[in-house]
Amino acid sequence: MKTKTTPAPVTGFQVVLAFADELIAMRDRLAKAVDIGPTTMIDDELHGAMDKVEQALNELWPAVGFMRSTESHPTLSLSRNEPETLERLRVALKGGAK
Amino acid sequence: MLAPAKAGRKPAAVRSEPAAETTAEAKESHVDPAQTILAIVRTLAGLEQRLQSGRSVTATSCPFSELLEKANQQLAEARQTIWAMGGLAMEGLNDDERPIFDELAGIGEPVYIPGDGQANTVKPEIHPGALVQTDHGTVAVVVSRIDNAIILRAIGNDDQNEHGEHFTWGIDQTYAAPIEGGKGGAL
Repeated sequence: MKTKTTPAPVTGFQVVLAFADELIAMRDRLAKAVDIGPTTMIDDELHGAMDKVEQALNELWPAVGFMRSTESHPTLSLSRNEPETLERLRVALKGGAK
Repeated sequence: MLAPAKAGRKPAAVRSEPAAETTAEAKESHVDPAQTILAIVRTLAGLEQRLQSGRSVTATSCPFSELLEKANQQLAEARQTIWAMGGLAMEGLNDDERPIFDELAGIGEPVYIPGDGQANTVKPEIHPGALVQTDHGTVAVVVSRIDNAIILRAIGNDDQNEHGEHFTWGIDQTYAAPIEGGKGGAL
């Protein structure tokens, strides 16, 4: 007899990480275009945009680590970021917030 | 995890005049650069919106709030920069600039719509926000990805034959294009 298994819920850490993955995909997409670009204004603009996405990614990495630490250490003091807030954040970043 | 930064920047050069009128065949092989820019801007705006939503549900004292705000600002600047490229694209492109936009569009081989008798698989590495082009010339944006398919939404040049008759793939219609043998079809 098969046992019905319930899929594990998606954690906030996974959501933030997936969001970072999307940024990486965008960064890499711009980087590929930069690599084939001639020395034109377009190349310069592209490079600038790629740098900005990279910086956004750099800003987000601490959030990834922070989310992971709060989830892997539930006894951590969450006085400034209650579980409810983290849950709302998880939903928002996942793109499901209405 | 991050790719190494480029060793050096190429010097910016003065943009030359667009090449003379290209052949009809060459035109058909490329996606409209303006649509490419629009697709990337939309993707960046979507990411910004999600970050903004995330920031709005966190208290200002929460460490997340500042991180999300900074990331959001960088994305907004990236979007504005890409948006500025739209102006260049509208002026017309040199031949050596077209491959850049094709790369940005994420176009490799055409995507063939299921049910039309053509091969109908999509490369698994295709990502949301990429533009694809069907064998009939429809330009579609990859909206999302599910288990074995990507969801496409047509954004321009809806299919029509030489008599002007439209196929079933209309603008704003969505389709699931299968990846590696999955099932696809109209949604």
